[in-house]
Amino acid sequence: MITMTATTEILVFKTDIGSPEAGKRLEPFLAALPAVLRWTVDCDDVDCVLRVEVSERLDPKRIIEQVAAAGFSCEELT
Amino acid sequence: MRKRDEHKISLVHQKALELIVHEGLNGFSMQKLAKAAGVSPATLYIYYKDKNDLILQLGIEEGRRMSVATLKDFDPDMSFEEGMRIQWRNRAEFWLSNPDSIQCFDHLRHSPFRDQIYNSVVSELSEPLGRFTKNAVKKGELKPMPLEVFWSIAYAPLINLIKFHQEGRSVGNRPFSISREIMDQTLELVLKALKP
Repeated sequence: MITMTATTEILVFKTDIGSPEAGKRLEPFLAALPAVLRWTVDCDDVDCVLRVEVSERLDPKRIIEQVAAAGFSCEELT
Repeated sequence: MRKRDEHKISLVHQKALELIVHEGLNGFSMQKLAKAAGVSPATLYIYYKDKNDLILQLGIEEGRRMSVATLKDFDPDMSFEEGMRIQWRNRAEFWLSNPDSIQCFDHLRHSPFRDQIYNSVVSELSEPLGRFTKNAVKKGELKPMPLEVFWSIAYAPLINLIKFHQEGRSVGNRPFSISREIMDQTLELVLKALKP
């Protein structure tokens, strides 16, 4: 099971990141956000779900902006 | 922040088992599971990274549950006969009341997840059960034999009876349902074969 510290939050997004290679392009953009602890993209899923663990409250919009800057579409999944 | 909801996790867990049983590992997807469990895909991703992470965690948890059930009331220092009776009772109870788990294990056994699941689960079982048979041989209650021979005689007959029962048919398509008497009769023959 995922162990989450009290302050860890998980944000999930629908994207068009279709392959792990494409996902690599995202690295520097998410690395620019210090609150991002870990992230993964499920490229096998129809929604190519981006899952981000953040260490503190972070406006999902900040992630959406960075993903868009890397050239991908991104909307929050709720 | 979204809180971990144990009730929701156990519902997701049960639906995931059912989906794997009916659709196999290849037909299983996060989207189908979300629909079956009545949760949003986003909820699944709170708990699991992806489909593979979910299958692995599910397999390990089911394996643990089976280990715990198999070792209930069991002590490696028991007499061979008593230990075997408890093993048969525990295994029969688990297999008969968890058909989805058993079928799910069949899928996992033929998948790349096999080693990771086995490594984390089998060691919990193999230590006490290994000690049990070693003790029995030392006390002169069990003939020495290779593990595969032991398993094929000690447990395979029970698993076979359970399979007949779950199919509702035995040899030659005869109707069959398992009973206490049938299990006892088979266990007596098994013990006879294994004792020196």
